Amino acid sequence: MSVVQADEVRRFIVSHLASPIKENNITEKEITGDFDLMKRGIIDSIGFLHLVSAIENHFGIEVDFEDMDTEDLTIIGSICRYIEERAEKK
Amino acid sequence: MLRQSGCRSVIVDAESSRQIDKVLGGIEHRLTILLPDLEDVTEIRENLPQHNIIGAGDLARDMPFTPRIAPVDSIAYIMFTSGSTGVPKGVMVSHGNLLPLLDFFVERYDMRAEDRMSVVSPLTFDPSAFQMFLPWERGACACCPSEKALLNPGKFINDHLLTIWNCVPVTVLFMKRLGALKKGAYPTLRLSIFAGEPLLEEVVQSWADAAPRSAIENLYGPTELTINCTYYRWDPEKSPGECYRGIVPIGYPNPGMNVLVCDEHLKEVPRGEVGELLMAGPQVSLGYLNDPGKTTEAFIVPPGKRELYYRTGDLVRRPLADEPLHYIGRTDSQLKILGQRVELGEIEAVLRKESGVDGVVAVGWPLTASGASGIEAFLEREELDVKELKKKISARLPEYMVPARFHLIPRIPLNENGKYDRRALQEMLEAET
Repeated sequence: MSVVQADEVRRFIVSHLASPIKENNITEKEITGDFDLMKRGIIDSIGFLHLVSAIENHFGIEVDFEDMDTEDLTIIGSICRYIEERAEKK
Repeated sequence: MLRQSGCRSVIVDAESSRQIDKVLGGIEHRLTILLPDLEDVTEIRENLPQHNIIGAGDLARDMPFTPRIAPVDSIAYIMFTSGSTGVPKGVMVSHGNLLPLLDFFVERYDMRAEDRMSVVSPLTFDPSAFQMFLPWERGACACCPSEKALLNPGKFINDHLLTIWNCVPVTVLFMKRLGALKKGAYPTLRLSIFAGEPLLEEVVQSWADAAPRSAIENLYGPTELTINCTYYRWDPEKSPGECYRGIVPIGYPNPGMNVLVCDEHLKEVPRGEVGELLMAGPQVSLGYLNDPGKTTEAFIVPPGKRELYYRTGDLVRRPLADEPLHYIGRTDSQLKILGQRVELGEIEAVLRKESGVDGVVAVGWPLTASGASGIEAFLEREELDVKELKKKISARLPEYMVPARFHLIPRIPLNENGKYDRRALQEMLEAET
């Protein structure tokens, strides 16, 4: 069984979104657990969809947001915790 | 709290106003607080000197309300649409345009006060007017998701117990990819309305599984003809046979609206043939704001007719007998390639079928004076056996319709209304050269 660490997910997200992060002049230090990808203009709804697909492919899991709070959907710490839990259940 | 959430008004009742003192006392930003049920607001005013407190006494004195009845030919709203030249055109829609539309759909959908309808379109896109006025006509609830809630439309439907859902079809593809179209996922929906772009048969099939109790309706209409001017009810038995190239018909004109299908000389084409859709009737809007030139180009009286018709720029097939209307594409999606008339929609339908990819766009490229000299295709997929696909396409289409290149891109750009942006794709090709 593979174990996915929240930090690994975080690194993946940051590298996947490297160019919009750079365009918005955001340093990696600023991207803490409560960093909101949508509020900070890093992703829109389509960007979100592509991020989800990328996470699914990379970690080999299926994401199902039904049980996730809508406010948390674009908060980086919440996504990481969620993926970590999903991977454990697999 | 208020400033972060972008909230501009808070509704409190007189009972809770004492507790609210504590909350409002902590807000430095000057607020206007209306207490229409409280005669004496002196005490609250003293406690909250930084805010503007308005009680019942202040309201009664100088605010008698008599609704003003607007003349039917006055403007209800002006909606800007993107023009083909890139300069937005302001479409003037009157009360008289809007009323017959609302009367018809309120009855057709049997709108009731218990209904809860989604308002998901941006206010700059005219379906939003439909999504608000339709429920309001019968005192039903218009439910507006936040930008974030729209990331998970399925949760919004269930959390808010929606009974009527209205969105552009691309939202359904979005939900499908997020795994949000599970069997029976949306049991509260009684009606689902799709509009704004061609509705694919597959989209309807997936939606029907997820919303088993819901009727499904496809609407069509340019802004100039007041939101929606044709309608089609999906019938699981009959409709699959009525789809054309995998696209659901746009159906029949609203009551009072007349249809004309014409060639480029504004002569009606024979039944069964493809031509530009023109429509006349009460929903024909007042034209473009401050642009009489563009207005007279698009709003015309065809030879031998007396009524004013709007040229939609959309290609439809003129129905045989009482068949529904079929949407074929934009007049500008009909191109001449090496002198042959080509409809990009037909190429896209074959591409979708053979590749299994939903997000597909074909564009003419490079452009020439008379059209284009070839076709290029864009597919929303990261990996695909392009050689194999080209072989399959070549077996189904004549050579001049087979795309010269297949571009695999992670996302096809959308315009501000959530539709595929052909021009942006052509600009990508332009930038390449």
